Amino acid sequence: MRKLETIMGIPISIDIPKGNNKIFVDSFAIFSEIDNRFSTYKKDSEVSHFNKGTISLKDCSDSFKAIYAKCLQLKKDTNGYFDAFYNKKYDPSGYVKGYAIDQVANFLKQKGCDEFLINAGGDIAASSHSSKKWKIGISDPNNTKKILAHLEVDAIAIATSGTYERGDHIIDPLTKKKPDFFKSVTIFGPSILIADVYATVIFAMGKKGLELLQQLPGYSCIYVDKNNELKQLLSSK
Amino acid sequence: MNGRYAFRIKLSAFLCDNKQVKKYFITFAAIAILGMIVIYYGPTAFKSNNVPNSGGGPLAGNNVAQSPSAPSSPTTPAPTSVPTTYKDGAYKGSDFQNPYGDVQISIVISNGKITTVNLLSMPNAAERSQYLSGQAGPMLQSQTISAQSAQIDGVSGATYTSQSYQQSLQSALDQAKTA
Repeated sequence: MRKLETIMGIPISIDIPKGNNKIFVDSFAIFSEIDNRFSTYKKDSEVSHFNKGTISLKDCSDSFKAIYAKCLQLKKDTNGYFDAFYNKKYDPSGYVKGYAIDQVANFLKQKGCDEFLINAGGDIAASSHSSKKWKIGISDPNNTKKILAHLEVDAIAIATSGTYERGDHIIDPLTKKKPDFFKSVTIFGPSILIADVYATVIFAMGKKGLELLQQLPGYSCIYVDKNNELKQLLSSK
Repeated sequence: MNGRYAFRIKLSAFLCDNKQVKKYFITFAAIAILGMIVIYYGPTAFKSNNVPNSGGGPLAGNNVAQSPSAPSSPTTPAPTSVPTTYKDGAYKGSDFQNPYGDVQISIVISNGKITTVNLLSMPNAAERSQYLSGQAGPMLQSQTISAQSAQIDGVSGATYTSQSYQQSLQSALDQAKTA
């Protein structure tokens, strides 16, 4: 069974072959809860209050503090390419989508459900412990009705970054320019938290960003560059 | 098996202990290969081979011997013929509309490990597989199977807006599966 809702401004589809209605309701509720806490668009979110100064970090929720710490760490790990503090405003959106997918995946596993596919705006976490394999396509940046590649997987996290869907929402924080080396970058491996952040970071860094994969054992990359060449860097792990 | 690995095996089989012979052979082979690449690719050869780590970064060791390999004839290192499974003219320098033609890669992952990589009707010039570790070579299988046979469960792409989602393949899949 598959259900679709729009939360965080993105279409989210959850496929649980053996799912009942309650597990879908609870899963989408996790997305909504995270959105209510971390949205920069919602005036009453914890992030909005933090940015207005109406709440200090020490009074924030545990999950807020955990994500705040993670964002600081990621800024360091990526030499400033992942920057939730850009423009002197705290905006963890680049981490929160992956975090939300990860939270729902963990929730489903806790409930004993190990066969699911969550797709939040093109970022996917899939799990299967039976003979079922999920077939996941990677969108063609030149034609989103087509796919470039597909992966047959039992369990995987996969995220794609590109400017072709949302326009110019990625900039190189160091040069302040639009990155132009890639048309799209797809990262896949065990965790959506890593895949999501690093797809964007590598996209923003350009060609040099591919070297970051060395620090991410178990993660692979498929990309299309500005000359429309399709390339893959596959992890052997 | 990818052609570049096959190529390495063949080269090593010719090497012998005599250093002088070895030196001449390597020089000859290098010139021959360079010549073939230039003939095959023309002026774009170096641009397209110069990926993704020409800066001498940690991946540089994998940049060798990227001769345009021919998946359907894995024991032939020389890029002298285009296999008939490729669409003629699918890759043209001036055609940026969809120069990679019907490129499809199918990757099978079991227990979190990549077990099979299938190249599905991939135009010759677009094939640029690089492994983070050279040990992974034998995992690459080159097969041409029908890309249309894939029953896709989900599509990974750059973040959808509600508007672009309506136009997407993911939307069509969701409609079919939530119906």
